[in-house]
Amino acid sequence: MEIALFTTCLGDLFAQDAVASTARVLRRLGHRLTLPAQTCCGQPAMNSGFPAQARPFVAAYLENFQSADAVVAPSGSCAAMLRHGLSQFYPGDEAALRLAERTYELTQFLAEVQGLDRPPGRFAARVIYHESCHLAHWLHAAGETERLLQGIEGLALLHFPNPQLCCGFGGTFAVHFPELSLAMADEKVSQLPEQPPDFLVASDQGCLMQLGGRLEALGRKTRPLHVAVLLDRAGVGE
Amino acid sequence: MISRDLLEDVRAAVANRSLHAAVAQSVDRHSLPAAAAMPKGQRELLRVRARAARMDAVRSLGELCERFIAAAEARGIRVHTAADGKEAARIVAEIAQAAGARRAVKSKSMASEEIALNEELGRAGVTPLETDLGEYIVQLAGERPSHIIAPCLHKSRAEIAELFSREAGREIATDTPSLTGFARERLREEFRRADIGISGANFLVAEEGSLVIVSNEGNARFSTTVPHIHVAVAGVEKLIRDYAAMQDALRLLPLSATGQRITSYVSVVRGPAAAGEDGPQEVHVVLMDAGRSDILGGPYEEALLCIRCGACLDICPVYRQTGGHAYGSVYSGPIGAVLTPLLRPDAQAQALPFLSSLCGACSDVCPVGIHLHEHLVALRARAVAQGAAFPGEAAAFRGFRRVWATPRRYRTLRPLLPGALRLAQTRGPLAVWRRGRGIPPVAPAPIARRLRAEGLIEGDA
Repeated sequence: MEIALFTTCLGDLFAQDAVASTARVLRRLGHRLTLPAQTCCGQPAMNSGFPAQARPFVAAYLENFQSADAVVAPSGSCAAMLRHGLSQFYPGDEAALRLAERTYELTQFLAEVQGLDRPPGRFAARVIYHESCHLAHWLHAAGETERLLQGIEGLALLHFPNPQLCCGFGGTFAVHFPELSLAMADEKVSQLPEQPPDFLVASDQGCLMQLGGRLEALGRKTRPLHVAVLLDRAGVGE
Repeated sequence: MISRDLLEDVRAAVANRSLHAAVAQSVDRHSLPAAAAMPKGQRELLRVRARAARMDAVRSLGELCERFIAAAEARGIRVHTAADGKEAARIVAEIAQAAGARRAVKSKSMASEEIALNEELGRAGVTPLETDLGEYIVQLAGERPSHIIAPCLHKSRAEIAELFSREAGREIATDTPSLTGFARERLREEFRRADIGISGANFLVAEEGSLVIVSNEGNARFSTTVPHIHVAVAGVEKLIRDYAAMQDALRLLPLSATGQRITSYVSVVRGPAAAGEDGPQEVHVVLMDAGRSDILGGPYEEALLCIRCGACLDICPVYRQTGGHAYGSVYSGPIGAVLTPLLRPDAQAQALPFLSSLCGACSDVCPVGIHLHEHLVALRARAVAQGAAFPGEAAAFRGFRRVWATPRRYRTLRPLLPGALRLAQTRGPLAVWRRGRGIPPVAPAPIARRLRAEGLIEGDA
């Protein structure tokens, strides 16, 4: 399948390993990758109440990603923004609606399109998994990522007692309500098991920057890890 | 400009960590059993049917209103209509005054909170007493309810015992039997002395002209049967076509609220008592519009489907941190952040849609399938269009669009971003981020270069 990579701003600027790992895993699974001209998905403007400023970002995506069989992004929140943005800004536009339908977050693609279920691999570490809200509630792919991790040898997969709790990032929300955003991160951090996991794994760089940034500031040992990097290092697809 | 009051209230709520502890414990006690109460498929089936029945009611409000009034009046219920909250409160106060009432007992009603009925009754010389345990507690504390179904969920057991001890003039212990024992003893006496009983309604059944009230404490039955006069206040969106149409929503209400299969009491009020029967001599219903018809037919119409179960509050990661008071609205949590700006024009109300991380968990638990997170996004745009943006953001997002919205511009801009982002960490929005959080280093070269260098992209030599 020909897959267009949507690298995302956070991927380009802060998490290039996650993007490279996404590409490697998809290549190993036999896909051809393209890198269309791209920019941000427009989410910061959209979620701050400026849809008119968000629309051109979605328009650029629609223009440049048409030809791909599927688009994969290492981020549930950008994929959700593109799906919703296309549907909202181009209602009734066949090309836009079809593109929305074939825009995926990486693990969602692996589970829903690739049909991977507990693929073999090896990654020896204790990890705690945080399911991103965009993946669970915007893309309705709850539980899919976890099934990708369950077959990996050596992986001790831990869970938060309140797994559905948001990390508190929320884009500009973190700047609008800084104390609240931190309090939300702190509740997640407080729910880490006593013996610190090696990694906190998530599919969204936003969550990872929020929780990873907080873990760092609090001097905790647990490090953030993008799920793409884990799948890549585990050799999934080999 | 965004409401400063909201930002301050949220900051103060977040600073109060014992509030968070109390709220988090209570919402988990609701939402965990609620999630486990019914298999997912069965719940989904109920949700689809309940939504259809509620949607039918909302789309037929005018017709159902007429049917309800005709059927209720045929049974001797006096129906009053009120265009706004002020009028609704005045009607209730006038009924009380005309009867020479001095004391009112109230069972839990968010509609009465919405119209500030207790204040209006006070001005009319009527002393209202809240008889729902949680409402009684917040009334003693001089506060407002902080949750749609659990008004005192922000209070710890120790705080409640302290309030009761002060009221009793003796020490009341913190165990449940002592606390409820005191309230029961105090309230029993008040039920006997009251001249008028005031309630809300969970459903107004149009075909029958009856009210359905769901409760766990029995206080609703006392309030609606012991005093000679019963007045119910309800928004028009409480209308439902008939008992059959009500069934699924009635089941979902306690299931979503607390995980109960049924509440302790489901009361149907069908009119005044017949001669020789126990019960009120007069039954009044105040049917209020109070902004509802402005929502009808518009993009936010779905908000009127709400059955006030509180599930979205219980699952909300923001509500969990702040409790309900920070919202500055009778309706808090996600549904409050959607409904309040539609019902109230002030700046704080308009700013409420921003008080969400947009996690979307609310939409998934809503028993009538309101797309709460999508409405929150849309209402942000509406607030901004009405001038309620955060300072500097209008210009910032114009700039964002100008320099960032096309791939070509982003490519040109990319070499400058590491420097710009460093600057933003000292002076810009990222400075706020840096307070309390680390930040990864910015990659100097674009990812495209690395992907191509590794030979991962098709069509590259």
